[in-house]
Amino acid sequence: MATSIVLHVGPRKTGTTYLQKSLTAASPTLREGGVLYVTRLMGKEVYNHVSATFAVPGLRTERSSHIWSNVNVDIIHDLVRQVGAWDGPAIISSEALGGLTTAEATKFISYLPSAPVHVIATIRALPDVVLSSWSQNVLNLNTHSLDTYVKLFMQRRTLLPPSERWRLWDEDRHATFWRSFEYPGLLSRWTQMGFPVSAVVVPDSAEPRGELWTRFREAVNLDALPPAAPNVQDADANGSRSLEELEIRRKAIKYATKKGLTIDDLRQLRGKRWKITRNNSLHAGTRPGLAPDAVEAFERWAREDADLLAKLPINLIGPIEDLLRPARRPETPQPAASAEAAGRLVASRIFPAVRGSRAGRLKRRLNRRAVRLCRWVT
Amino acid sequence: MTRRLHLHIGPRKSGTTFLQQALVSNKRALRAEGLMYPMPGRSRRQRLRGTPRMHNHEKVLLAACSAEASPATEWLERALAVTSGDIILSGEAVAACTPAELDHLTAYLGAGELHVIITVRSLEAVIPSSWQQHIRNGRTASLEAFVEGIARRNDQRQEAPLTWAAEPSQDFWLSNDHAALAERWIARGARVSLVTVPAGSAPAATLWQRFLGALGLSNDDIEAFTVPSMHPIHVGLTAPEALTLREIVWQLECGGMERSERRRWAVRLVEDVFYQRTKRGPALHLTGTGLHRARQWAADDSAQLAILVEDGQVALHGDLADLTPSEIVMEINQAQLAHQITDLGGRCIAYLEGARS
Repeated sequence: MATSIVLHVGPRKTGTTYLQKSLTAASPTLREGGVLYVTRLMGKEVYNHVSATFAVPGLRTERSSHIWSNVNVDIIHDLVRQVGAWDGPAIISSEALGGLTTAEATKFISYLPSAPVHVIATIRALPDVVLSSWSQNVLNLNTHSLDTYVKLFMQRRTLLPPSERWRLWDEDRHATFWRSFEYPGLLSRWTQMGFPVSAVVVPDSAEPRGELWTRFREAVNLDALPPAAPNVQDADANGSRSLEELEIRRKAIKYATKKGLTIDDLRQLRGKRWKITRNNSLHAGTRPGLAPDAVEAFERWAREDADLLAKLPINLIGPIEDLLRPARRPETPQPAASAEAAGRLVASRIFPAVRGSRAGRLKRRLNRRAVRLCRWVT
Repeated sequence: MTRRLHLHIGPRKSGTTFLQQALVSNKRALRAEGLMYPMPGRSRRQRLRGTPRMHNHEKVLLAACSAEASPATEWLERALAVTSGDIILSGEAVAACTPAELDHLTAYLGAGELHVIITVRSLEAVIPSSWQQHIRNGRTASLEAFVEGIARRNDQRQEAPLTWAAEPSQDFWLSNDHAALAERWIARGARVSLVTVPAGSAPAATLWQRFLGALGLSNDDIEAFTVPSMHPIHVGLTAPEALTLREIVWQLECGGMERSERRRWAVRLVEDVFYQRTKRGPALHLTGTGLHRARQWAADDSAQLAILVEDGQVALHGDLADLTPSEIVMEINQAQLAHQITDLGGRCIAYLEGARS
């Protein structure tokens, strides 16, 4: 049975993919050092344990369009079995845990083998998170504009005192954003469940990626984790997208749904499924930024949250100033970058169509041949 | 009385499609004035395949330029032999013919009065219009590179003033050095009329009226004629459309797609997506060095044409000032342009997904 469990709860958009891929790359070394990081569930390779989280009955979303709506319950059993069979510390990493209510988190914990749990949250500057979250929202086929999206969460922040708003969000299953990104509330939830909690402050994107690994390693506090960050390919898989690209994707979904296409029809447009060539890119494009009123609000909330964090019984790793970075202002989108992004995205949809039509032609030809053959035989 | 042959030679991007459609839709009124606009019929196979009716004589005239007998030249010979009254033929590619090709063509057209009508449009408008056509044809040069290419060919012809017109690669200047074009036809005994394409937002009817004037019809006669609407006549791409399409075509080329297939996709997107929008964005126009160069070329061309007009060698229908518009080119708002491009990109993807499902 595992001697201890390190539970990385994310939340999402806080460098989780990078850390999980680093852990996956380092998993053989970790095993040799006596630490388990599960990279295979139900015979399928995984780099995180989000699917196991949503495999817990009752935690699965009821939205039929949600990508985690049909997760096999056996996945959580497989994770629990592997952790239970391991003799030593185990690391579980799932950014979905950060957005769970207390009741949901308790339910998840109840599935884990009985062992001391150490919770680690990665926390990132709030203005950066909201922009990154909007990008992900667009990649997940939603059509809110950045302004609408930001305003939606500004309204939900409420003026209630901290403990009251935490209670309110803990009862509202749609308050995932603030449950995840109002860090004092997130960390209190886990401390109140009786677990020791560490918070790793995500460094600025200008700093080397290895800095996040170093801070995470300090939080995990297990010698088996290599001091140098593992060399991870595809670490930028969730790297920031240009505003131009996001706007094109958003409008594509908007117009496609207007035409009557369903989210199921548009699955190929989700996230990373586009096969886009990037080697001929000349324009980096502009980055999304917050409008002045949102800048003022999110920077103020970031300061308030930082003050509250200082009062919590947690182990904070990394300078708190990293949470107080000024918000990015909007830049003017560039026509050349917009055209390039449009060209790349549209071409990437044309090529499958060409291939599809060729494949279709071949299939039709084979069908015709089969029909002729049947006639000849009969 | 000798039969007159009115030969409209374009050049391209000077309202030719509009005029050809106007000629077709006014065939009866023209016949009443003793003017024939004969069109080759479609074969049974073409009809079955849905090949659209032709509105011009481009293929026929180009076949005659090559001096090789073909069904097209046979049709031309027959049409010239059997048609009574004056004949109008229209083919914009003729403007780009080399002198040797013109010799073949004039030999085919035979005796009789040859009246050549050249529709002339400001180079400031022709260049962006040619460029967007270049993109629609599946090519990928940027507007700046396209203008640079025209400038390079202009330098080449300045270096070889006696022989440049024999170079088929000089098709842009063969068509758009309007004074030299008029002189080539005058040298072959043709009477030449210039019809200037009205600048800016003048109604399309003005061009049609000027063209009818060049055909020798008076204002009273013109009343019987109708003006076709600009749709579905192909209209040029706007600035956001051209920029978007160029990048799409460029990416398709990077992906190894043949030009003919790129062209098919370009046409499909233009017709099924771009033209379906009500607000299509600001017009495409030249800026900076490109605009400066085009204005300089246009001023030189206009000055040469003025001499021909003054000398009575060329009849003018319209105003030479149309060739050198002095309008201040409005800067396009970059943020709005970017917004329109992202919107177009989104529409194209939605269209492709819709077509797939």
